[in-house]
Amino acid sequence: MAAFLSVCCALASVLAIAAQDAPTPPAPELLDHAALSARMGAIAGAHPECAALVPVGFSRARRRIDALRFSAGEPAVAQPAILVVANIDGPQAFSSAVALTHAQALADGFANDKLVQDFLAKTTVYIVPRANPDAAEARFAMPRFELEATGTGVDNDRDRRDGEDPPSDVDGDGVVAWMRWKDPEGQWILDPKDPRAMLKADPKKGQRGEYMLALEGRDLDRDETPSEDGTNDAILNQNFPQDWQEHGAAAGRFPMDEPEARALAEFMLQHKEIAMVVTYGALDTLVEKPKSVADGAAAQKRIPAAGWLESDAALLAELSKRYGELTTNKTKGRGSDSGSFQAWVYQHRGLWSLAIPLFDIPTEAKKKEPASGDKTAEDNPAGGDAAKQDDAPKARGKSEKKDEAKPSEDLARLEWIDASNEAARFVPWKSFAHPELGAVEIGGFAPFARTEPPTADWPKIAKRELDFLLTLGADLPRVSIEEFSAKRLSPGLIEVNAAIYNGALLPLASKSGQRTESSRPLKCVLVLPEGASIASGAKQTLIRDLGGKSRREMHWLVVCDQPTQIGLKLDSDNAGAATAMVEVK
Amino acid sequence: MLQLTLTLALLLQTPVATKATDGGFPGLPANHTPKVEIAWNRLYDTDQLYALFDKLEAQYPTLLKKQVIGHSTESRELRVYILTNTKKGADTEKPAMWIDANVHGNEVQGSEAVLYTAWYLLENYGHNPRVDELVDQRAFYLMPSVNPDSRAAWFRDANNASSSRTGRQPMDDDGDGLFDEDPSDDLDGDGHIVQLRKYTPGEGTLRLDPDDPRLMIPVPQNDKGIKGDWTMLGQEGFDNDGDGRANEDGVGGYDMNRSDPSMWMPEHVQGGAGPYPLYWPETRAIAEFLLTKPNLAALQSFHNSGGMILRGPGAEAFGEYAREDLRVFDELGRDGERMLPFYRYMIIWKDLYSVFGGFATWGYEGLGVISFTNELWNDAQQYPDSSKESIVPTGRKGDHFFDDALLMGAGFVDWHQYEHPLYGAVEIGGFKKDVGRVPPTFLIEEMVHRNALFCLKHAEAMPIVRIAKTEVTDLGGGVRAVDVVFENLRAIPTRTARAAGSKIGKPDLFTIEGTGAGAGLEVLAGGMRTDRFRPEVIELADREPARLVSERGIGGRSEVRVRWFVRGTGQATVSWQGEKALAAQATIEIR
Repeated sequence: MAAFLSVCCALASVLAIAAQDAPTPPAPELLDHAALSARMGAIAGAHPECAALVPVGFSRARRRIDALRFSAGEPAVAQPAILVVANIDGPQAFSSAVALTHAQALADGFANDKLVQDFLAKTTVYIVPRANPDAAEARFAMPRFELEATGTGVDNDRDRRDGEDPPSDVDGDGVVAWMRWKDPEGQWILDPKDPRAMLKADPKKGQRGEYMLALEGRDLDRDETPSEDGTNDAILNQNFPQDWQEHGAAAGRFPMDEPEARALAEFMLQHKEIAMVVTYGALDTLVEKPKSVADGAAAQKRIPAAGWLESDAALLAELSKRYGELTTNKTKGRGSDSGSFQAWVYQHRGLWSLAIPLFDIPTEAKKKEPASGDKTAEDNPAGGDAAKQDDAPKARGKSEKKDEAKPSEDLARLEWIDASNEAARFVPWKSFAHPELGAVEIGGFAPFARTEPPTADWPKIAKRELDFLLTLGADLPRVSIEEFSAKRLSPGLIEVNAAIYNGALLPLASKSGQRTESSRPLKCVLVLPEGASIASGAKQTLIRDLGGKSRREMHWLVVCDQPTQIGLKLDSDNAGAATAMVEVK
Repeated sequence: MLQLTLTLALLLQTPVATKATDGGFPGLPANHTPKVEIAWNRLYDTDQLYALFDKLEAQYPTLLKKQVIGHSTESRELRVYILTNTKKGADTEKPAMWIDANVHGNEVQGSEAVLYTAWYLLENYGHNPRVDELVDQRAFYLMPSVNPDSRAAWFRDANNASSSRTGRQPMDDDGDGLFDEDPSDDLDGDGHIVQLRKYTPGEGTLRLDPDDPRLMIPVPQNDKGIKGDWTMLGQEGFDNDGDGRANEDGVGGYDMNRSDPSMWMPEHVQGGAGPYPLYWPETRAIAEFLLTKPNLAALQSFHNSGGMILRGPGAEAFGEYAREDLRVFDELGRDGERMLPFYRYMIIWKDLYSVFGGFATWGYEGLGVISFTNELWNDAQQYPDSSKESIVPTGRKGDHFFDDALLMGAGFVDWHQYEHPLYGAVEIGGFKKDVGRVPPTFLIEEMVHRNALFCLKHAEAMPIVRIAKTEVTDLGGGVRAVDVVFENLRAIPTRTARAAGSKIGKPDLFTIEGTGAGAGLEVLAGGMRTDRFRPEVIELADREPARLVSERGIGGRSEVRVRWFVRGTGQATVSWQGEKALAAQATIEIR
């Protein structure tokens, strides 16, 4: 009775290897859509042995959205995959540059880098460097403007005119920045510590507002509010179904109305081998612990409590810890995850959603730092439990955002800018005679000041993220048949025993995945020859609940009086497949 | 010879034609002949249904127009028929009512109700002033079948009253990687999916009803040791995929009435919802259509069964609808209860069950439109005379008596022997698919008429705005006050509280403009008067006084009093524009 075991995937101490041997990716480059597409095509064309271009869909403006797939040749059935998505937030073009360096590094490394070869032998990687090409393209246009919204227009100021008063470069300096002007109804004052920064007047401190603050723009509809009704309103990463904000100004007409959202969702549905999604953008699940709820938290009026389920959060914390050690990235996330792709991936698809913010101007900078471009967020102390809210005025196209400012953070950002010799990140306030508003000052944080790190840091960031990414392959659940044996109990009766094993850190399905059942369970089928029948046990067993480093045993009694072969077949969506065969005399 | 034959034929026809002097068919039986004869004592499959609509369109080409808004999973046309008198303006200029049916493929008879609504309006147009108003000044978007694939399948294939509810996109319901591989099976090939029962002497939970062996009675659970002789084995079928379960992965397996965006929840909260809102081609086509129809002002979505006039919310977590809107829901709902015997006006989550992502709830919560779902047919309609309660059998006995007495037993498949691959000798039997959720032939016409007329009542409630009064007052110093009363004659407001509160669609617009000799008219200020006795109580607009924008619009059967302060004299045009009613305009002399 010989038992043929399938190969068990035990990757030895990947973490240690990653830190030493991971390849060095090329320096990130900011590329417009045409150049990025060309580069992706070139990578696929030059490396057919490991890279392929897979279409994802088209943007609203009919720009192609593609993924680059990496694997050692054609991936094995159900080989788990990691999807890397960048630049889903319009202003995060830098994230697409980093994602593209991963692609180049994987393509190059497949030829001679052991770590990359081992990684791709067992893991498929899809990289979508730019999920939001329409918004990203604004990064390469003049004037400079952080375009976030691309969807269909909304009449934001409810005057029965759509898009009649968009932000614009009023002073013609090539930048859509901010405007401040004195107004008796203004709610802002100049920060006494640094008049470049604005403070919300606090009546409790005896302060009366003196200034209005708004995005740079005309007041074309002459309603005394400038730049409050742009032409595009729906923001892609608010258009996914999890906690979608119906009738929210930027949420879109309905979830997945944005072609980019739907394309990405359909891509996920078609590629069920995806077990984990890594995103580079404004949101964070990895640097700071996301909100979590008890596994069995009661639904409120039938709606489940939102947040990571405790046992998933505990495993995420392991990844987070490793991420912190490998990258020292301390960048905090920005904005709400309502309607986000990242939340949809975890809450609705039940997959691991690792959201990574690559850069923001640190607000807890050490004062002693020398004025060098080398210093980035990672040198700052941990954000701890600081509120994950987006505080500073920024280009969102909606005037109410200005009310959220927490000036102390702006002050800290200015200090970092001064200390880092990054003066271009702040446009000095300059008086300007505004055609509608009269005397204003135009200036403030420059577009992309908070999304693009100092250029000197780019290679380092690309490297650190690749180091981490390459560790993740070993974490993905993979089932193997650890034992498969058969014993004849009597002339007609055979006992069959099997053990399946998941050797990874992560369980077969996250708790969320067990709940959503979005991925197919592991299917274990006992394969019997003609003439044999099952006396006890199920021909087919469906398994969702198998933890990391966990084993599951199965037993059968089979009736058969001839020498025979009995097989066991495992298959899944995203946790591998295996077969074993045992001969019984 | 040919000439003579034709003349004879004409002579023969003449008496019939001249007798129908009244024209139209307003529910009165004498002296009316419809131009398009449709039998209202039967149900039509998808092709027949579409063909009848096409026949109406051919007969009334200026009043009815087909639009294909997309294609179903099986590539059938998704048809919306637009009903309005196009000679009196395009549909998009008029307030419109959407009526659909049959999103659940087995819930068929709503389609006949939609067909009847079209037929009733078309046949009576030109003969009844209220119908004329509906056809000239309103539009109807009629979608006879949201789910034409499963409608076709329900008629075509072996089914029961509840099967073929889903759409036809293959799904892996049991998670084994195979799609639709274990449906119910018509084991005996008689065209019906009914029940399986097995004689298990001393080992069952049921026994035969001594009065009627077609029925089974549960054996009481006590310590007396009484055992039943029969066991129910579920729906007709077997374990096709050999996974140890029978009939667990049939065709499709989702619910297109759980797919809409408002309060949408994923599968694990709301079964059948699909991977994301509006995932199915049918649901998305409808949403795309309606989102381009800001004139939509009323919505009905027919289902079966239970006899209900349902409104949202579908989920408790939504909270309650706005009070002003509830007045409209309640008025129509109560009238509906009067028009539709055995139907109750109910709140979905509270009185029925929770529904996340339902279509009619999206109609209100998403589109801001007063929306209902009628559940057609209530079993109580078998025995409408409540004074005979004491002699009327109830439950399954009642169904059998009705079937035996009034349908000659045609609705029931008598129990008969079958050799089942797993259970051995069993009996197959039960009620057919067209018993229980759809009315018998002779009650169909009443059902479609009452429901169609409920829709027309709903449509009549869509706003009609007129300028009720204008008045010019000389305030001295060359300044005049122009008072205009804008009135909405009907129950539905021009902007529902939901639309106003959630900023759905465009706000209403009240304007004044000097014309002709009054072209130089200067509009100094303007706003809404909020106290009819105190003209100085007025919500002045901050800017653009000649162009007043109002989120709240004009309430149901209410008025809005606008006062403009102007300098100059001559002619001026005052107007109201909104999305849900024909524009109103008047010319006034300012002297």
